Amino acid sequence: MKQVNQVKLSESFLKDDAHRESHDKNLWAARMRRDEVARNIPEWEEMRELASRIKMHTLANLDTYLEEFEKNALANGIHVHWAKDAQEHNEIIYQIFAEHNVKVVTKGKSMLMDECGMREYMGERGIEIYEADLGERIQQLDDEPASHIVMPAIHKLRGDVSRLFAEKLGSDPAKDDPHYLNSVMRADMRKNYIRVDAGMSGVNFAIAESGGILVTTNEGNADISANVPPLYVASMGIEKVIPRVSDAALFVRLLSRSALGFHVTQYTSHYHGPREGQEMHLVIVDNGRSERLGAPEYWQVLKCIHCAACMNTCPVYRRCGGLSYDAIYMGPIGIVLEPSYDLHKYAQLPYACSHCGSCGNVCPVKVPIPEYVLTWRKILVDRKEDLLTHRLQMDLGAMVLNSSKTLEMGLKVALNALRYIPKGVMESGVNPWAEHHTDPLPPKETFREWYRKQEETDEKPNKQ
Amino acid sequence: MSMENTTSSRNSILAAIRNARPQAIDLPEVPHYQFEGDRIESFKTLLHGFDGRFVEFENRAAAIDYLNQNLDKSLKIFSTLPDYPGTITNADFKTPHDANVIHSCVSEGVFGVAETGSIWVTNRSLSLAAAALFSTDLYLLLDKSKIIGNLHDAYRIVDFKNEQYGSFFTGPSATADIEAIHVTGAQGEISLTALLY
Ligand code: SF4
Repeated sequence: MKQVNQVKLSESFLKDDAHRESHDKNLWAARMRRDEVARNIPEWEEMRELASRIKMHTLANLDTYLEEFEKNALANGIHVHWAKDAQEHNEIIYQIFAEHNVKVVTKGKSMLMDECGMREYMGERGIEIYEADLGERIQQLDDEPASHIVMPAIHKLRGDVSRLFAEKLGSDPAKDDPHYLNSVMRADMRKNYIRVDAGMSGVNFAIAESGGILVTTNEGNADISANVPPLYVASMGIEKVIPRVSDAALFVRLLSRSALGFHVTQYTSHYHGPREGQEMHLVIVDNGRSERLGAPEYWQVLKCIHCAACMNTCPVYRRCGGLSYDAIYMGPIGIVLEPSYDLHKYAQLPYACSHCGSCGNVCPVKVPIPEYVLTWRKILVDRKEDLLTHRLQMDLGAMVLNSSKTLEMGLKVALNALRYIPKGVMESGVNPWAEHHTDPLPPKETFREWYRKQEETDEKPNKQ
Repeated sequence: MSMENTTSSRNSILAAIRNARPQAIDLPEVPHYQFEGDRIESFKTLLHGFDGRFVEFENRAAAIDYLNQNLDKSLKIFSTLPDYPGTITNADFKTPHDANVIHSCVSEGVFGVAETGSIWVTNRSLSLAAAALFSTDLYLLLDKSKIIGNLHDAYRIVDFKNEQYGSFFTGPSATADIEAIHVTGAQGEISLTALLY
C-alpha cells in the first residue's frame, strides 16, 4: 500500500491563505471556548482524571462489561450482533437490510462506519445511504472523506458549499449564506426522512448497567433517523462501554465542552430499546481494537471519546487541514492511532507533530498522545519503517554525538558554513525546513569556545 | 452472515479481549458534584445561549392561555397535554413518517437541568418523538420546581427501564458545520420555547 505523505498532502492547503486562515481561526476559537467553559467548573481537572481512570478500569475488564451490557441490552429488546472486522460488520448490516427490504437509509455520524467503508459497501448493493449530518452530507456530496471528526467539512468555506449545493442540489449559486445553505440541506433531507426505511447512527457511550446507548448530535439527525423508520441500526466499537448510568454524567459533562466549548449538545439522547412496532439492532465491532488493547505501548488510545479537542488545539492540524492525513482519524489522535491500522501506510504520520504537548493537556480522558508520538517513532525505527533520510540523519547524529571531539568540530564547521552559505542557497529547495521558516544568523563562536574564554579571563564563574 | 457466525465472532472477540487485558485498576467513585447558584436563572441563561426561548407564567393555567392565544389553530398542532388539545393526533398517522406535517408540537418536559439549560423528554412524555423532531415550533411546558442542578443529579433520576428514548433537548436543532457559524433549525425543530410555570 502506498505510504501517506502528510507533508506533501498538506501543501495545497498551506498555500491557500483563505482556507487555511479560516480553518485555523475557527478551530482555535473552539479551543478558546473550551478553556472558558472548563475554567467555570472547579472540578474540571478532577473530572478528567476520573474519566481517564474509569476508562482504564473498563478497558481492563472489557470482557465482563461487554457481557453485562449485552445481557441488559438483550433484556431491553435490542438485537445484539458481534463483528470481528469491517467485512463482518458490513455483511451483518446488509443482511438485516435485505431481510427488511430496505432501500433508503438516513444515517447519523459514525467514525466506525466510515472505518468499515459501510456506505460504499451498501451503495454497491443498491442501498442508498444519506448522511444526515450537514458536514458529513457536504463531504458525501463532494465525494471526500471527513476532515474533522466533529465538524467534517470545517476545511471548506461557504463558497465551496454554495457551489457544491448548486451543482448537486440545485440551490441558488449566487447565495452562500450559511443560513440559506442550511435550509437547502434541511429541505432536501426532509424528502429522505419521509420515505426512510431504516435509520443508522454511531454510539458515543454504551452503558453496561442499563443496556442502552448514548448518542449526541446538535442537529437531531440521529434522533430523526432512530425515531421515524421501523428499523434502527447502530454500530459501536468494543471500547465504547462505560460501567454505570451515573458515569454518563461525567462523560457528557466533559464531551461537548471539550469538543466545541459548549455545555452540552442540543440532543443528548439515550436509546434503551425499540419503540413499539420497531426493531433495533446494535453491532459491536472489534476491527483491530482487541489487538490494540493488548499493546502496552499504546493501549490507552482506546480511552478516546472522539471529542476532537486535540485536533482543535494542534498547530499542525489547524494549518494543514484534516485531509492531509488521508486517514479516518486525523490530527493528534490520528497520528498515534492510524499506524496501528497499517504501519507502513501511516509510517509518516507520527512525524506530523511539533511536540508542543497541547493535545495531552486538553484531552478530557488523558490519552497520553505526546508520549505515544515518541512511542510510535521508536516502533517505526525498530521495524525499519522510518524514512531512509531520517535514518541517515540519525546515524550521522549518533556518530557526531558519540565523541565530544567530533561534536565540537562538527559544530564549528556547521556554524561557519551557515554564516557563509548565501541566503538564496539556504532557502532553496535543498533545505525544505526554510520553506516556512527563516534561519537566524548563527553566532560567531560555539558556546564551548565562549565558556573557555570566560574561564581564562574571569574568576572561574560558577565554580566554588 | 448466519447467526452462528456472529456467535463465533462474539466468542473470539471476548477471548481476544481476555488475552489482551491490561493491568486492572479499581473503578473510582465519582463524587456527587453539586450545582452552585440560582437554578432557574442559570437554566434560562443557558437555554437562551442555545437559542431556545422561554416565557414565564404565574401558573399552569396562564401557560395554557398563552398557547390558546398564540398558536394558530389552522395549522397542524400536535399536543400531549390533557388541558390543551391539538388539531392532529397519533390516530392520524399511519407511521411516524406522517408526523412530518406537524407545524407545532406541544408537550411537557419531565425535568430541566440548570447547568445546561436542557429539558429531559422521553418517548412517553412526547407520546411520539417524531412529532417533536419534525415540528417547526416545539413548545415544552416545564414546572419550575422541576429544574434540578446538574447532570449528576439528572442521571440519578432518569428511568431507563421504562424509557426507550430519552433525551436532553437543549435549544432547537442547530449546526455549525459551515465555517463554524451557528445556525438554528438544522434537521429537527426550528424553534424551541420553554413555557415555565
Ligand atoms: S484523544 Fe482525547 S482530545 Fe483527542 S479526540 Fe480523543 S478524547 Fe478527544
